Amino acid sequence: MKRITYILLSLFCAITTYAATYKSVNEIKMVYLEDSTRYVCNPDGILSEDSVAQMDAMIEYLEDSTSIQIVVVAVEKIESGDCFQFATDLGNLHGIGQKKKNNGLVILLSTKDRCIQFATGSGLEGYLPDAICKRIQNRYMNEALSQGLYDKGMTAGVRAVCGYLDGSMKPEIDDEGGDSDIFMNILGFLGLTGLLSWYIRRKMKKCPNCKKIGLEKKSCTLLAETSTYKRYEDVYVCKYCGQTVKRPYTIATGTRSSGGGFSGGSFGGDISDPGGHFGGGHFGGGGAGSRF
Amino acid sequence: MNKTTLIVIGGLVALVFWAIGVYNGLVTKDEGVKTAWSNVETQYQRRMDLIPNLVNTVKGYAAHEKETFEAVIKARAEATQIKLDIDDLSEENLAKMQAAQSTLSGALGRLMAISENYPELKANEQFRELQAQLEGTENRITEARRVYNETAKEYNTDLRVFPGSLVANIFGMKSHPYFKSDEKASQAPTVQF
Repeated sequence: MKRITYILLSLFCAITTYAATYKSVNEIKMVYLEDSTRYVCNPDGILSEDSVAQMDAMIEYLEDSTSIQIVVVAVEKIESGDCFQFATDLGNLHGIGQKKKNNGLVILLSTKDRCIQFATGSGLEGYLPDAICKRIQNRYMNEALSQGLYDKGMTAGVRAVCGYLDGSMKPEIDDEGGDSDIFMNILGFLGLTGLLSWYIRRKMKKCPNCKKIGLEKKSCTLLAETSTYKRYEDVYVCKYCGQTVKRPYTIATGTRSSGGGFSGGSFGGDISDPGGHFGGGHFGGGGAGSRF
Repeated sequence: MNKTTLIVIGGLVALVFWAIGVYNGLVTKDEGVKTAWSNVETQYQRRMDLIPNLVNTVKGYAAHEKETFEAVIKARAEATQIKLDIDDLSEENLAKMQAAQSTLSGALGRLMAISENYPELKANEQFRELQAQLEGTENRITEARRVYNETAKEYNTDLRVFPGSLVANIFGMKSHPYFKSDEKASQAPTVQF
């Protein structure tokens, strides 16, 4: 009996001291990719649902108004203990932030390593300089975090960051000159289609006998009909040499001569695809970190 | 012109195009290394630019720590002397540059450490911001060096594997050296409050 208690006790101790440890940035699941209104990755359940919802709301507003993409990650332990490298690598792996603006931000909390790190995208460094990152951490986060009040510290920090970045930039559509691009593409496409159809029709009018473009359709007769298809025969006569050409063909009943249209895709965020996309932003090592 | 001649000529043309492809690939990667290198220099420069301000701020509170200041200023002057172009980036030159920067890191570390003895300095808002900037710059240097090593590795590998090595020999392309990890100054100069 004593032995069993001893074993159970040591197991219990082992379990409680076990901290979810992350070795590679691949192991953190990005909730944003599944739901574009969620930015806080909380795999170890460190933060309460309430504060997660609060932070999500603030960050969503910021993304809508400025196109800045923020991801918050709260974990227990990172194997390397290097919060700076982990946060920067996370940002680069997923390409957080817009491609041209590089305005991503990763906020990483590791409770057992006792570090909080802001990693700013290379385009965000001017708007949220290292010194400000440090200031936010010192003023709003470090004390609460050191006391284990993770919800309080993180929410205050996110609020400060969003407040600081509010109105800092406009969410322009990333492809400037994209408008004229699409126009030219459509024009080119129509031109090509027109050219192609002209060429095909011309070919069809070519007389096999005298090689001139003189065939004219004289009649079109229905040869046979079943429930699934109809068989026609067109008779063409060349106006130069009088050559007669017969062209039989089959049409499936119910088809129309023009092809179907194409359905366009959307850039994510509608009912069929609620997941978000990271813009492909780049991180150069900016930001600041604190140990608490 | 008989069929065999045509085939031979066709084969030669294909070979030339293929060689051009390999060469172009190498050149592109080399440019990537150049960009990464200039980024490294930019971040080191950024650190050097921070130093005068930092020294002056500390001097305001700890004027008689002359040795420390002089060490920093001297190390900075020596590091500034070593300007390396990507073309004269040999193993030795890089080692020299790295050594100079390492000395500077050491001197800076001591400078930041003495601030421990001056609580008024530690509390000074400007000093704290400069400190944050210094830490950020050290992080950027780390990242820039990492990216440089990565791009250099890609280029060097392409240079050594089979098709690349032929083209490289013909055009005299050389591999790039790597940053080695600093044994002494392995941590950015941080101060615990």
